[in-house]
Amino acid sequence: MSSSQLSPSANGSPVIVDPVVSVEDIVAVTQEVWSALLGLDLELEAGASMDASGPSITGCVQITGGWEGAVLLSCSERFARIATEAMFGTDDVTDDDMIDAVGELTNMVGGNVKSLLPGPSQLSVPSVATGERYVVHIPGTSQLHDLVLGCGQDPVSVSIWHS
Amino acid sequence: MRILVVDDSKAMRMIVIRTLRQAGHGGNDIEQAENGREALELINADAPDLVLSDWNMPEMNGIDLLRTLRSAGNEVPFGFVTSEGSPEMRELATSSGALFLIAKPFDADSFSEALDGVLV
Repeated sequence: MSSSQLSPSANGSPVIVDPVVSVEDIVAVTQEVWSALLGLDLELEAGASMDASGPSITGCVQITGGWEGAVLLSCSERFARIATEAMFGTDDVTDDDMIDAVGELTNMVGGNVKSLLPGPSQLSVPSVATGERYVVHIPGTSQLHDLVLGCGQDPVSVSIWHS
Repeated sequence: MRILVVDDSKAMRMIVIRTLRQAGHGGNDIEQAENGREALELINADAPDLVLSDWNMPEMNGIDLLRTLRSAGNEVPFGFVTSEGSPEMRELATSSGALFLIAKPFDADSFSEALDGVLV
């Protein structure tokens, strides 16, 4: 997957915009979090897309200051439960525990991505959405990256949005 | 010794406590707080020997908790456990009075390295 993005210029022709954080950076950050917290190896699934059907959970952290935008992390509810059980060290987890776990995974990925971006900036506490067939809009931003990563379980998507 | 773990994520508090145990510090009394405001109340009430705090939390974040403690003359040993491990954040943590900053994700070795000499 290219680390650049095409954006329309004033006359409509495409302009390549180089984001300050690369695909490789995002993959490396997410891999480190998945390995350390969940004991899972992640690989980029280039060209893949997430299955929009079925219950899912999305975490979001916003970055403001020297760089403005958001980091989103989405996964199926099924994978969220697996991750939550690993983080809590028990299979007796609640829906609130799953929201907490996905929020914290988003916080870790987002915080580490923030460290790669121009500063100084602030990281928000995570917001978490749950449900089926929803779309998250971050007003005033455009998408820099939308990556799908797999680990042998259900995949996870990590997207970066920039104001 | 008494350790106060401060994080708005219950999952992360459990992971920190588990990692303390893995790093050989499981024999200490461990208290938990969900945010800086709750931590401040517990610190004033129970005088822990060490505070391990997240940075971004609702109601009162970790840096505000630390600054409030230090401005009140409370020198309790304080370390951050946070997803924000950039050099700038480390500098801000140190200049505000923190002894160390452990970046998430972490392992038992990073806890041992930070806590050796702080916990005896």
